Amino acid sequence: MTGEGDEGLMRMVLFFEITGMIAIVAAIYIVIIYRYNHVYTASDMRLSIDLLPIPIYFGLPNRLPLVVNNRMYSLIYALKGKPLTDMNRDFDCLMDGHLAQDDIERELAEKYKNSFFVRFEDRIYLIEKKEFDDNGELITQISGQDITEEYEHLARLRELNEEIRQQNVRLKEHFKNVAQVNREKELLNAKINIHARLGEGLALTRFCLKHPEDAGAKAKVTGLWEQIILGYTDGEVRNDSSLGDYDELRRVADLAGCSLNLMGELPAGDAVPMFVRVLREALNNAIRHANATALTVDLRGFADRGRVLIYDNGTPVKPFTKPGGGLSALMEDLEQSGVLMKISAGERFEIELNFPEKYR
Amino acid sequence: MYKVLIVEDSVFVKTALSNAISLMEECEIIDTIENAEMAEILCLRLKVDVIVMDICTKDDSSGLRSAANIKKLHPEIKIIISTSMPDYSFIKKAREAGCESFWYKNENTDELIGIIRKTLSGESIYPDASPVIRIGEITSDQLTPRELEVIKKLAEGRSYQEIADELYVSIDTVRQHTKTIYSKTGFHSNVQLISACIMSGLVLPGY
Repeated sequence: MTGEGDEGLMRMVLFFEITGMIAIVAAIYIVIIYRYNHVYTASDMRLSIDLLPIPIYFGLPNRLPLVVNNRMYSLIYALKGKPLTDMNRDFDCLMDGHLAQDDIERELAEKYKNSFFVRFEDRIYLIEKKEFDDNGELITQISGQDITEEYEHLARLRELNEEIRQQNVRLKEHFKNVAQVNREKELLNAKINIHARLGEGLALTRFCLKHPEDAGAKAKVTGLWEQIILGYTDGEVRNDSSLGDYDELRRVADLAGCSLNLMGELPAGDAVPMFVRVLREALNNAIRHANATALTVDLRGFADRGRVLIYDNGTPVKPFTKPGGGLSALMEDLEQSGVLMKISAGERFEIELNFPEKYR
Repeated sequence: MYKVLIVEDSVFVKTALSNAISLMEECEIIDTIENAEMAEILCLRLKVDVIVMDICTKDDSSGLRSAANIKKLHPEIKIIISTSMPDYSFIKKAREAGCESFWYKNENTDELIGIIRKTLSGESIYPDASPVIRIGEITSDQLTPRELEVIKKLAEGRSYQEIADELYVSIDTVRQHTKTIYSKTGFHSNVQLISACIMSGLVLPGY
């Protein structure tokens, strides 16, 4: 009985020993697996940097690279035609030798300093160099930022702006044509009216000649011809302003008691409509706001530099270029035609115009 | 003696108006100018009693805009708007600008003289409606004021959404208006409609 009891006890102990060992082995296995899955090795880090979609480089000032990913190697090879040797030097050479290819790159270059742009595998990268301090050690980081979308948006924005500008020009032309057609129509209506009156006069005269005894018709025809002749021929038209584009302006200035002093010759050709408009606005402002008695137009710099100065002798006032106001609308219209307008109000209120060469 | 300023850029009309007004004993013409903005300048310094103001003046200057500006500074100056353009909105705009009278130009300058005299005596003379003109298969008086507004805004280059915002209606209402206009006039596109309206003078963008 005692022997059988010992044997059973031994078996039980053996069972627990084996089970315990299996449990310990399983625990050790779990710990190992856990540790293995949660610890990154240098090769993991290397792989992750290589998989980055952007080219990247970290190095020390003594030009030893710490980390360079494959994309950076490929990029440098594509740009230099040789493998990367000294990234700092390569960056400086590429930066010095790089020329902006278009206006968008030039615009972006203003925004991103110490950088340049490269086109690589149908993408556009901004290659940038930065330095930072890592526990007293200076680290250089050179990385590429994919700006393809920003570039494409800017290009599209430029295209759209250009389209809008052209549409504005077309719209202006269209309005100009409409106004021209209206004027011609008015003229034609007036001519038709005159012809109608003449026709009426002739018909009534014919009637009078055929019926000389009709005193009423005779009086009517005399009255009609008087009206036609006095109305359209002998009458005095005061101050006919169709003599020239500037004539009306000069006359109105004199009448309003604000003489127009010209220094140099007035522009001719395409510049005339714009110039007349500016003078009109300047005259209005000089009288209305500054109570001026003279408006001086300095045109001496127009022929060679396209520069015109307009100022008055009135009380200096602040520039009143509120949005939608006369001067601000004028400024916008002039800008669309390439004419720059500046307004200053120091000792005197002054308008400076700068016409591009095509207007001189 | 009343001082009269004439703003008119058509040589023929200018001559006719000048001659007719110069026959009025109580009036004196102080100037005849072609650009409406020039009238604003003259009114700043000269005493003017009446202005006979054209709407479409030289350099695309709008007589209605200048009239409104003059009225703001010199409400005592009486303004008679004159035009030969049948744009439906001109009468309303002239009233809004504060102009006393409105004259559709015709060969009968006696009518204008009558209007000037009545205006000087304090009356306000406006035509009952703008001239009726043909647009496609209908006449302009067969279009509702709202439809005319939609046409005007289309002619000014506004999109349906912009028109809806400006008229405080939904975009569907604007679309419905245009559909009704098409069915009335017989036109099939905005281009046809706008070109016919501009050519006939029913709407004049920019004034």
